[in-house]
Amino acid sequence: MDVFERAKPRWCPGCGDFSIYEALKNAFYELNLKPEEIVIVCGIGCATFIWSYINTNAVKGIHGRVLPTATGVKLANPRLKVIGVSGDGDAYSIGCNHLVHTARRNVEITYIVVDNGVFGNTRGQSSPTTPIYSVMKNYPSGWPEKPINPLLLALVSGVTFVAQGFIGDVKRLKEYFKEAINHRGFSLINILSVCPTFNLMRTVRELREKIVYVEEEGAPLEDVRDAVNLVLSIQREGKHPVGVIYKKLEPTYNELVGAMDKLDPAINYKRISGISERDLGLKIFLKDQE
Amino acid sequence: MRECLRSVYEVVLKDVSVRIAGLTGQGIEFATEVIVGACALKGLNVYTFRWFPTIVRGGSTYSEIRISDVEISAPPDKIDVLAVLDESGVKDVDNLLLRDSIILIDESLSIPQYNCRVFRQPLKKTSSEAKSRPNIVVVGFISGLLGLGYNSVSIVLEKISKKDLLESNLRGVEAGYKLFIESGLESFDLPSLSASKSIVQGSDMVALGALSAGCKFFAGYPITPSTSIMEKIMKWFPEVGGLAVQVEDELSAISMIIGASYAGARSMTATSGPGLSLMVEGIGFAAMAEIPIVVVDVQRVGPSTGMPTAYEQGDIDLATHPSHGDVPRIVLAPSTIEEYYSMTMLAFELADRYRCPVILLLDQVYVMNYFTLDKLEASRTSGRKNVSSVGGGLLQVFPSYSGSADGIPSPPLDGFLVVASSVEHDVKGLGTQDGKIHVDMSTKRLRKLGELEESPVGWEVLGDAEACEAVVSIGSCRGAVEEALEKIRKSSRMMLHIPLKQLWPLPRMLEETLKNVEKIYVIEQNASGQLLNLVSSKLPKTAELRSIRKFDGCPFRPVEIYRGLVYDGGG
Repeated sequence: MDVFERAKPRWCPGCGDFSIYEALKNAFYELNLKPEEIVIVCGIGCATFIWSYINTNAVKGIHGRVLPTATGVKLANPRLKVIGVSGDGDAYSIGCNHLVHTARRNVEITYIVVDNGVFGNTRGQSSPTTPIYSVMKNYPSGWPEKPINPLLLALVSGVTFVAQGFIGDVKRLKEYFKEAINHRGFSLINILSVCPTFNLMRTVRELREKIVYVEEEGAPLEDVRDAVNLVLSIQREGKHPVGVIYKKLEPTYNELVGAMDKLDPAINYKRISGISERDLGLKIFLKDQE
Repeated sequence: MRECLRSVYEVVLKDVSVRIAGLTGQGIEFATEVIVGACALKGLNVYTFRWFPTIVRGGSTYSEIRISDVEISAPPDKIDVLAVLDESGVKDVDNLLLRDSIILIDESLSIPQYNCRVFRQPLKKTSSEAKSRPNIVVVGFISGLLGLGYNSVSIVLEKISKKDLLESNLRGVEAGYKLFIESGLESFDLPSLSASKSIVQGSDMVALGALSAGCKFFAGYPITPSTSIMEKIMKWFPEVGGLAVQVEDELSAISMIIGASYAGARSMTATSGPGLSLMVEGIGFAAMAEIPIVVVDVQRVGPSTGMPTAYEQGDIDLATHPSHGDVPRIVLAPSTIEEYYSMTMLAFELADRYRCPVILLLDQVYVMNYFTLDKLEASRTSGRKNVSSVGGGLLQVFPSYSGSADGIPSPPLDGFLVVASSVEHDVKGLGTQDGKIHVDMSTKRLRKLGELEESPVGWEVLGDAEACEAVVSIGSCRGAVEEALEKIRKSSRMMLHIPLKQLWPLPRMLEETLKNVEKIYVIEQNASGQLLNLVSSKLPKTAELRSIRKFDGCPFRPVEIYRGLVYDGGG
């Protein structure tokens, strides 16, 4: 029996999410993780259905709030491996603010963003990663906005592990996941994906032609400036950097503030009364005190 | 009216009220703290109220301190001493100054003429001679006038002064005291009662309540007037093994406490109206996924940014109807400063039992001002296992959402996977679009609060149970209502008073208790009568309804409620 299988995955034929499902499941196996050691926190969007298909603990949350929800889980129980799953709308549109601030906190969360450049779940509107001038259902005469650059945004925000995956290369994707899950800090993997149903302007074949594996360029890098330059130089040629681009060890939020579960879970009334007496001169009595 | 008032105050041994008026930045809050501190040392009871603008420096402000040797929980109906540091702080005093009232004002300032005793004093000159500050000189003068004693004041100053200012503060108080002696004024001679009291703010009570309930996680975003709750929790949490985070916005705060509660920690956030507006989607999520959370809302004047530093009870509608869909929720509004502690503890117990959001609806006046208290009583709480049951061993998903006959869900057991979902789900939490399951699950989620509807928490009926007139009040209105009713009863008019604390689900007892009452006054501090609208469906159809409302940013004074009851309600 496949311990990580909860239900047979259902997405549109040719959807990039199948690759992510395979890669993530296999990463869990190869890391010898058990379902109960993992919490998958999902937002809203097609990719986030993954919680129904992979058998782990799960929080299926609300649109855009994957990172703060995942942060709460990790801070309350640091022993759990916390995996966030979003689409480009969830991560870079409605939830973009949280990305920047979670990066500052360096909470140990593996954040998987499936970037297919379209709002697929609502059936075909432009997203923050839709290229400018694209003809979209909601912008028949062309999308007038520049796309966000997830890799640069992550790098300058201080994400300590930045990678880009590609759904056409599941083997490598699995390796990025493994490395990210083992990373001590906040990791973001932006995954170049497709929506064969609602974004016909992006295909696997076209993406594959434009891929540059950054490991061949000396990545992962440890200097943000070098990483930014690497990303820019590849993108300037109209190509996509793929691989672990940047990786650096910095203190995690749990390390800085101390883990909650190391402390005594019992309610120490004496100590609370002590605090109250010290700071307010106020005694607290327990009603049923023996 | 004046005559009526006087007769009341003759009964009370000592009931003295001081207002210090000036500008923000003139140290009026500090002066208040010192006077309150000295009163508490003498065992006196204190109720304070502060009016202040959002600008940190240069806005007109005042602070009212009511002192009594009996317990008080309402602002005063009169001002005995008005100390003026800047004339712009003097407002709305016409009905509060009596003929015997004393106005203490710097010789350089001028204010309109009032029919009372005006003392022009060289406050500024004295303070610069003493190399101190005018607010401290005023403290010295007032402490002489009240009879607080130089000793008590200097003990308080030593405790709360910044180290490098202590000497100058002591000099200022001494100089002010000397001015009082030279003024020839008679002292109010406040008595010393037995044991000294503690000075607390509502924010202390909420933070201590959270600690005592075993709350281990807090996330919040600074917003007036709830910020002090966050600050106190952040200060105390490390000592009890809790973790508090200041986050980027309220969307993050509500999501983070939901995540932490899912992972096993009792969790809470605190905010005010605009923040609560942002949190409603998260509250709906917690209700749907049946994750216990406690949301504290310190109400301020709305709508929108409104008057951020002023008092109003305008979030009753939002708190009782916080999200789209059929949302199980519990809303509590404590009515005394002690209840700010006990109901905060209770909120965590209820959240865990019913696995739904509990909103604590609080009043700015209680959260931000100073009150005296003897002691606190805590009831022992079971707390919650600090570490989540998430992380067990079996591979089945726990049927967290099955619930018993009363719909109350069972807490997840060790050794199961736990799935929490914002999507409609089956008993294991797995997503569904099945209409029949939605019917079952919705019914179950709503049914679980039936128990609370039948046996509400904090239910109290004050006064004469046989009365044919009744008052229903909310939150901090209680004190002023009780004081007004005391006077009403003197004229042999019997009234009962329900300080309503469980706003949702509405107690069934409301109708039962009031079934023989002919007239009901609903008392609240907002413009549209939100409490009246909320309770009217549960009030007997035969009773005549009256609404007494106030919404100028200041708390009801007892006389205002008295007037409303005598002249038969307002709008």
